[in-house]
Amino acid sequence: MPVHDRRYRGFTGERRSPRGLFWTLARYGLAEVFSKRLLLVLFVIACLPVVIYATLIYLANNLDVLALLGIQNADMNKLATNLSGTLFFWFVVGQANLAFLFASFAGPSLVAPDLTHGAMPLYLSRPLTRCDYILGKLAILGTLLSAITWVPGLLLVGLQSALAGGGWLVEHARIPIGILLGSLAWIVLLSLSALAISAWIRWRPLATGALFVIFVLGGAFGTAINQTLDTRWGQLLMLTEQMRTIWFDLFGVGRIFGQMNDKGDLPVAACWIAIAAFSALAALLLHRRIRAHEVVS
Amino acid sequence: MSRAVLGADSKRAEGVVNTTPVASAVLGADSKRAEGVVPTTPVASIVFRDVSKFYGEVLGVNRIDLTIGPGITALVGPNGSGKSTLMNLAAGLLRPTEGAIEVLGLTPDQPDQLFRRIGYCTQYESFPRGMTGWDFVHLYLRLHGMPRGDAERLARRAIERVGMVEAATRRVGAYSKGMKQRIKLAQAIAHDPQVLVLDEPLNGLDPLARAETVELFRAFAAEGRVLLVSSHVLHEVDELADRVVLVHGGYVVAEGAVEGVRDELAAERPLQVFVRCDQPSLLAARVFSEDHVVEARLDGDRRGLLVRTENAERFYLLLNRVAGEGVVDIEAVLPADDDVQSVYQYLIGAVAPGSS
Repeated sequence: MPVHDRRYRGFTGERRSPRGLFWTLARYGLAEVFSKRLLLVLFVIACLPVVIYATLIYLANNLDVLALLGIQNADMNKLATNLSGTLFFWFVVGQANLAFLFASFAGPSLVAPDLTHGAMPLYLSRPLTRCDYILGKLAILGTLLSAITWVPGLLLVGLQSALAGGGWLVEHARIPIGILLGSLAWIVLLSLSALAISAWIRWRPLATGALFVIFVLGGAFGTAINQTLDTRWGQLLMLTEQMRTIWFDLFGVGRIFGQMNDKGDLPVAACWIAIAAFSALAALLLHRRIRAHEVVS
Repeated sequence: MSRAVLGADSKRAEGVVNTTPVASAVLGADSKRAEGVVPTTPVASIVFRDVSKFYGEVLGVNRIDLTIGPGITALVGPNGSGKSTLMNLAAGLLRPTEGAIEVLGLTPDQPDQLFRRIGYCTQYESFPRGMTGWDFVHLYLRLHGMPRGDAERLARRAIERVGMVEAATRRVGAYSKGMKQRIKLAQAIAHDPQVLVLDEPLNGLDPLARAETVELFRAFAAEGRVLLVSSHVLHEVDELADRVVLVHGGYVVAEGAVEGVRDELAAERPLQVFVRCDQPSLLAARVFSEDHVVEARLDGDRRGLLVRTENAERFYLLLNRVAGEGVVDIEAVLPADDDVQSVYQYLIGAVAPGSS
């Protein structure tokens, strides 16, 4: 080879914008999630209620089909006349619980292995910032949890709207908004919490346990505070209760099941602020942990 | 601790900030390394200007002024000396507490541009879990924003270059330490960077893989790339680097070509040269007549002479004269302490890292 041909020449092809690089991380992460049988089974289970709800909506709008089959069901008749916020509220609550279950198993394995295996310096020696890394990991959980919650929720709304016709959607406009906002708030809270825990607790079973402690046992602490101090502000520790208050408000269904205590729920605005504050705290904890190097202490 | 900044420019030894590009290092004493290839980048490639890095109260590196050009530069120092901090600073993974760093004229504030031109290899086993060698290299190329087709082509080429084609479809977790080093190297070179920052890249390699990797580094250097390589194995550095930077306690204590570093120390630490000849006593009498020779000691088998001199150049001229006279038959001349290990020991006054 001639001498002049042997000098350094870098890659001259086109590159994608660094802004979208986090999707590459997300795609690899999604492939890894679905390579695990447990997570795949959980995901399929989480999708099953959608089929059930779709069937219910179809039958409620086609009672003659039941009649043809010789089935007269009073509950179905009742449902047909009440296809309002309540049905979709229960759908969101059910899917949110499944999303929590899925996130508590999938989330802890998203950041911890990268930290354990020292992969962070290599990720961050690319045109990839710490925020991009977090965004990429967030996109993994965000995509999966969206596929369980608001995406099928809006599809069900679309189905109901198509079957009911004549202005049903206009009359129930807060339902799709409730599904979207309520689900997104839950997804952000859940994803950031799961990733933050994954960044600080490297042993997966312990990280999964920690998520349960925050979301489930937090409620017990909140109740204890409420009863001991005769207040309702202990609910600030009860993330699931706060989300429920927000969903009640978004769907306009009123509290379907009993109050947490006789002093009533927290104001909805306080719940939104608390959820936002907790999400911000989780993001901060996560950001502190994502570094290209170990900090010497 | 005084700092010996060495090489042809003696001003550097007087504490003058080193701004001289070292492109010549590629073609320096060992011209075989460059094989007639002229580095294409005449400017300094990595520049540290009065750089300090503190981790809270802990000193990482302090007041570093350093200029690194094309060719292979080795960072040498014991554990905790600040090598990795310097590497991470050069790779843009750490921000200095004080001072400024430029790599190819780019600052860490331009990560989009900077990281395209830097290939980085950590000293640790840095692998996302469960990946095959191919996935590992391919993922990181995709994270550089390469389109799929280009990423596949470049990944294939890098994997071929490190000799990992057959193992590329196996999971990295099942690799030997040497294979892991090679696949890490593949990800560092895959996007065709101009600057390679390689932290302990020869650790764990068997002798054959080590020789192949060193050849690969030389090929990169011959292409005019900048290689910053850290090592604590000194004989490795002797063999590999065009230039060394000795680091200790967060300070750069010496920099330059190994031979240059040794020459600068000659006044305090006379150079030791072993001469194998048939009449060592006669040779001893001749060399003692020179004022730069401080010691001459006969070897045990009376077939050699160990000479300590403050001026290697004059001593070699003397040897030429003696050989020309034909009185003494000189079989071999071997410098005994102009390697990195000796330099390190003289400068730091400690047992050199990696020496046994």
